[in-house]
Amino acid sequence: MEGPRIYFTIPIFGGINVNETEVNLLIVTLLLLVVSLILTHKMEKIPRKKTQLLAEKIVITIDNLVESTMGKRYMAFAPYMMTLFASSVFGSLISLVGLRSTTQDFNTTLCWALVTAFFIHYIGFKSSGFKGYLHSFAEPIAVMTPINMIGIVTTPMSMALRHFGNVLGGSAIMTLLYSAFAGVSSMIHLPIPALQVGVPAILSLYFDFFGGCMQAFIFCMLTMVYISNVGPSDDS
Amino acid sequence: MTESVFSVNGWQLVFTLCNLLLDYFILKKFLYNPVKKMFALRQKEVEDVYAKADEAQTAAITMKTQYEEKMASAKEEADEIVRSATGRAQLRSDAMIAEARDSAADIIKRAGEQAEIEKKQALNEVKNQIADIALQAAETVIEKELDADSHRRMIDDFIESVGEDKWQS
Repeated sequence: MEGPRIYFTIPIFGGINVNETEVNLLIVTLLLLVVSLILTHKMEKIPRKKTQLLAEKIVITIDNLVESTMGKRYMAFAPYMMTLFASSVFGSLISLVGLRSTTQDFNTTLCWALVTAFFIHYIGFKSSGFKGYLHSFAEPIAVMTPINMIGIVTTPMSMALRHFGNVLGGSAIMTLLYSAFAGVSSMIHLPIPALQVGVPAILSLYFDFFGGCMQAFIFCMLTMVYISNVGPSDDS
Repeated sequence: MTESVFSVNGWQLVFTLCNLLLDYFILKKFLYNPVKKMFALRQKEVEDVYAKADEAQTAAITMKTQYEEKMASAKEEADEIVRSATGRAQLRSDAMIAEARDSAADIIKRAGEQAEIEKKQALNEVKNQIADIALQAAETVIEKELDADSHRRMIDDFIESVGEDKWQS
């Protein structure tokens, strides 16, 4: 298992590496830009094109998800959730065209998790004030305070590691399976490595495609739930 | 040359954050907001259509009310016209009857006056003739011409003293 390749090093601040993950992040960004432009190209009041219907479906789905999970007062988070989900899904799925997943790098998922952590504490601080924010660590009972303090670190860590680990694990399993099939093919003396052609594709559907979408969804759901939990609910 | 599989790199974190912000702005500007704008446009159009329908309905109701009011007032007006016409006709017929009665009374009165005058003329004529006859008779009797004027007065006085009532009867 190899880490992301380093393409070159910028010789400032003691050397900044430009690696595969960073380049792929830019590719994903470009992809998102192109997809967005295609989906919203020449939109009409009465939708006639499938692309516009898809764009509207995406926005409605995200809006509904944010509204049902976070409540109406957090609707401003909808574009961010859309960004997070799209970045995660596209970042994971570029492995299907042979590029290294951006989410297979711990730095990527850690950055996203830190943004979530920032929102959790920022919203908590903003909605209940400094005292209320400090007090929230002693809930539901004072004994929980140390555990809650640990939670400050473990919440983003667990989110980042879960996403990173799943994608990395999927990739590792696929690599292992691929060599295993190659081994089996040569063991039973097949003239061509037939097992390597069809079967990994099906397994890849689960480990790469399904796993990638699943982790993106879980990451977004967790972000929404954590943020909406610290702030006041819709009722208050 | 590769990075380690599991490592934390500060610069890469910063880069990823910038990339996330870039993604956010791209998706918000080119996907989320245009679609939302389209929804808003559609919503506005629907509201406009509803508002127009409401307006039309209100106008129709107003027109209906006005029409009903006009119909009611027209009926009242017709009644009023009929009533005033009837009243005027009544007045006019009353006036005509009164006028006819007046003129009839006038005619009767004038006829009465005429008869009175004619009676007086007749009486005067008779008185004159009697006076003349009496004078002739007296002349004949006394063979002497009387003072016509003074004796005529005497005779007239006599006739007056006899009274009109007697002459009339």
